[in-house]
Amino acid sequence: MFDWLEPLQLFRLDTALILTLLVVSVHVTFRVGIMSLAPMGFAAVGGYTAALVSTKTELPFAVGLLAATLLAGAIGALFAPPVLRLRGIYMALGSLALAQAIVVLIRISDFTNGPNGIAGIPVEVKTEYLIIALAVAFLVLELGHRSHFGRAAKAVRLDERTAEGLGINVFRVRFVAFTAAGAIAGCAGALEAHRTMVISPDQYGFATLVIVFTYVLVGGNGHWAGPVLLTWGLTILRDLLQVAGGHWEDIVYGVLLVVVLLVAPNGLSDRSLYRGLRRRWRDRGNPPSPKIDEPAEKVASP
Amino acid sequence: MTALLELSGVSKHFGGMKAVDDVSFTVRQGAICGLIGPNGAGKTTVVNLISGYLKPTTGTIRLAGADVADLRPHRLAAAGVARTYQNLQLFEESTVLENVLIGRHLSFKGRRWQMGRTRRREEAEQHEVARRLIDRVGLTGVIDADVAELSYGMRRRVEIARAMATEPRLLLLDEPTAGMNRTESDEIGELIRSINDEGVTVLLVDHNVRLVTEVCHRVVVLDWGRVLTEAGPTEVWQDQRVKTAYLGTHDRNAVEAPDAGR
Repeated sequence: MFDWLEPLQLFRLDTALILTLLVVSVHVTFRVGIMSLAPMGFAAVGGYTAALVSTKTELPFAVGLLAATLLAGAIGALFAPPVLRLRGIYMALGSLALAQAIVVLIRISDFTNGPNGIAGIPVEVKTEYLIIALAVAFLVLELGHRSHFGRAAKAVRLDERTAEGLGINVFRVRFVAFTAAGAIAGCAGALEAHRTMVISPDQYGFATLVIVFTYVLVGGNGHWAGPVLLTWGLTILRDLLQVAGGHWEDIVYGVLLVVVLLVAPNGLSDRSLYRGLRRRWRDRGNPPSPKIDEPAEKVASP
Repeated sequence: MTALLELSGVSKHFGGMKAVDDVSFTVRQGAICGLIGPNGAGKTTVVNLISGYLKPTTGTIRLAGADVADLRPHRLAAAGVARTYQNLQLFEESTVLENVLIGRHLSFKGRRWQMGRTRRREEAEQHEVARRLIDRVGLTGVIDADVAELSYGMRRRVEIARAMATEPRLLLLDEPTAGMNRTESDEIGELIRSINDEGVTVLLVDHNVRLVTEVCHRVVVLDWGRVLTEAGPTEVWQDQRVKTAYLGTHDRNAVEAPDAGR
């Protein structure tokens, strides 16, 4: 199906698609206001689970993939209660600590072959599989986005206390999101392992996480399509500009992050960013409508 | 004449500070009860206790006979307690309709991932309910505007509509007319009365003497975290202790009652 692509392009396409899964994982947590730095830990769980299943047993790739996804999701569910008790920067640090503890365990354990990692993982991943996995993720995200669960998620992100007062079980919404994010990251890790044949504990560090976070933050949390399209757009762009892997790439990303967060603090898919545009569209052809306002009022002084 | 809300011996201490100290009062089913008192008397703390944001240090809070002191806010919302906030807590980057729809969360029957026609039908029904509520508070014209674009008085109304969207038995209004002029607060008074006519019990916290006197059936006065007195809406202002609490002892003869809209 993708034979017409050159091997290098195909490799980059697959890389981008797996990165998109990680972006989706982080986006899911951002949507409900969780600042989680755990995705690489879950990806490690997924990658190693899949790798161990296929190198130490005769079970097919699909079983390993499923096991990886479920195990990462289960660990997510296990981590959720302590992490979700924390707030702000402490939540970020707590999630990072738990996730990196997994990576440390992998590094010191003989069962996972310590710092040397695992080699000789059979290459099973075709681009088609990645597209299917992403399509499923997008479908679920879009259904969630449109359902009242999506509305509740937004309410939790914007103001958890008020959401609680309106009958939304904040913990449950966040628990579901955190667990799902773990499962998605685990799935991404497993697919990555079966694509590159070799995994080691070192690859689950900060480098990928920073890129993923840039995409998610710049893409914004108004809609999942924001971060996803940004991921693809930048992948194509860096190919065209031939900056991939060079120093210029980091500089471009840094500038992009700063500029966008100055112009649009909530990312590119933030609704309020387009409020002015929408009003202009609404009033097209007509004289500008007066701002909806009642006569000047006193400001509250409770 | 049954009591819907019953506080008995409720205290809330923050360290050594007794924000609420041994407060007991009841709100009859179907009544509009005023809760007044000078700034810092503990009114908002009482509202936070009733709506589950705070847990009482001691004492019990009963809603229709059931002890609800330990319930989290979302459970209380499900049990029929809705509230507005003293300093407006709207979802700013959402439209009026979306804000009210979030209030409908509990009444969505459908499962999370329902799709197709079922989802659209339920969504349409919920939109209709929300629309009616928005119409009721007089905001039909701005239904699709972001709340950040609205004036202060309108935002207060969005909050009331959103609270009503949860179909409460007990509505807690924390200073709904703060910062409003007389016309606006009269309109809010009308709205409160019409909500009450539908059988919703209201606990109204406000400094607006006119509003409290005109809409409340009963008024509880708090001072320094304790119940000072409980009386009818006109008698309460005659009480020397209430005047003293609001105005201090030296100003006793200066003014009859505290002025509206402070």
